[in-house]
Amino acid sequence: MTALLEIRERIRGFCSRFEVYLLPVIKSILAFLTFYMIRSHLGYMTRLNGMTLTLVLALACALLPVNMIVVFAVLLVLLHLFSLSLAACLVCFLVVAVLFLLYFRFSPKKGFYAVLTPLAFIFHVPYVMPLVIGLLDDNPVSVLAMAGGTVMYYLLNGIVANDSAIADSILTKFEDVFNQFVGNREMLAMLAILVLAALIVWFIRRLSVDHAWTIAILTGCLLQFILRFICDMQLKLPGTVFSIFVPSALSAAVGFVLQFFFFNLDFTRTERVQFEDDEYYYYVKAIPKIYVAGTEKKVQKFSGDDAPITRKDLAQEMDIDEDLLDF
Amino acid sequence: MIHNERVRHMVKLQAFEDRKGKEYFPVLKYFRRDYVGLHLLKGFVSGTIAYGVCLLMWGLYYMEELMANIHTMDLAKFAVDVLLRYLAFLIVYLICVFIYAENKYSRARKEIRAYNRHLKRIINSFDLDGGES
Repeated sequence: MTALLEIRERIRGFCSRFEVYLLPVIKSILAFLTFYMIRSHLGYMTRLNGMTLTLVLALACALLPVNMIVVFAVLLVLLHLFSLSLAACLVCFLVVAVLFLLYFRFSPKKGFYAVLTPLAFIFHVPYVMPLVIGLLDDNPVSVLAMAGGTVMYYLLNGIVANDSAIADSILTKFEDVFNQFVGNREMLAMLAILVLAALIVWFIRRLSVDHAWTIAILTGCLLQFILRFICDMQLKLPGTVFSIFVPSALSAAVGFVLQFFFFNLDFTRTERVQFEDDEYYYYVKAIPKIYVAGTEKKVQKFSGDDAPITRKDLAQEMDIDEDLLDF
Repeated sequence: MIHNERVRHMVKLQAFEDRKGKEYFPVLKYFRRDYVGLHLLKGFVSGTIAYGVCLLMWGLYYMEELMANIHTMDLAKFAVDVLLRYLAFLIVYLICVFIYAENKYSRARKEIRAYNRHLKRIINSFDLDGGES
């Protein structure tokens, strides 16, 4: 455990030292992943499919605010859909417009959750998102960004799955495009599961109980596993227990990694103090963070004079008056 | 000579300005009622547009059905129905906007109070030094 804590301190030190460079790199990687996934899953407009464009946009995102990833992603998606069918493009634009008007206008900083959620779906770990939001976000309203991302994923996924039907007809029926998410019971079930889990994780994490984060992570994962299992049974979705269990276990692992880095407390040294002033009586519970100081580096000299150099020696060596060395 | 305590407060002030300043300083340019009112007004406009977009999507989805039945439909009843749904949606949405704006204003006041405390300590430290920096 001590070795792990030392590694954590080193990683933290590294991150704080090189934050200026790390942040653009992380933004760039996230942008690249997003644009690459759009390119490989949609890719209807061949002009946008060059790797150069993806790389240039990803590099540009390194210097731009994080929300520009969302803007570029939406533009790319709309252009690809425009190539497929005007109806698909218009429907996607309308859905984005509603999301923007109702939510992102108020909390634009959390727009990246709407990008991370479809990515999590693509990597088959959507259950990570409620844990990330519930554990790290102060504002539970951010679950709406996750919900927006979920709707976008199912809409695009449906369009990709039925692209031949949508693209074939000369004037595609809007109904065909809307059918990809209106009445999509799997989408509604996932929306409910993710939002409920995120709110419960957020609520438990803030409780004043020992091991609140651990309880929140385990409850969130278990809840998602059970609810998804019930939904699969009820809706007769083509999922197996294994296909639900593995992502849930992975999301629990991510949750514990987050806990290790952001909330590692030593509950054995909990202190409870009580005091009062004129107006209030205070019950304070203080839990120390687990912290390990970095190992001290020892410099072993194998040669040279061990005697420390004196001011007199230094002055003699530099051929100056000793008084000149007074700073 | 470096005044450690003052430097500490100045670092905290700068960190606040960099991280939260852009979000919270503009909020306190308004009185609470004006701030919430402004948000409600913006919410009304964006909510109305969003409802319009949803209505458009609904219209596109049921386009064929609408075209087939438009001459037999009770248009007055349909319009009242749309209007009632709009009002219900707007009331719920504006309640959410109201709660959001109230919370944000309270949070901004709390944060700016902490900012002002650091600022006062810096000013006091200058006063104690007789105006020397």
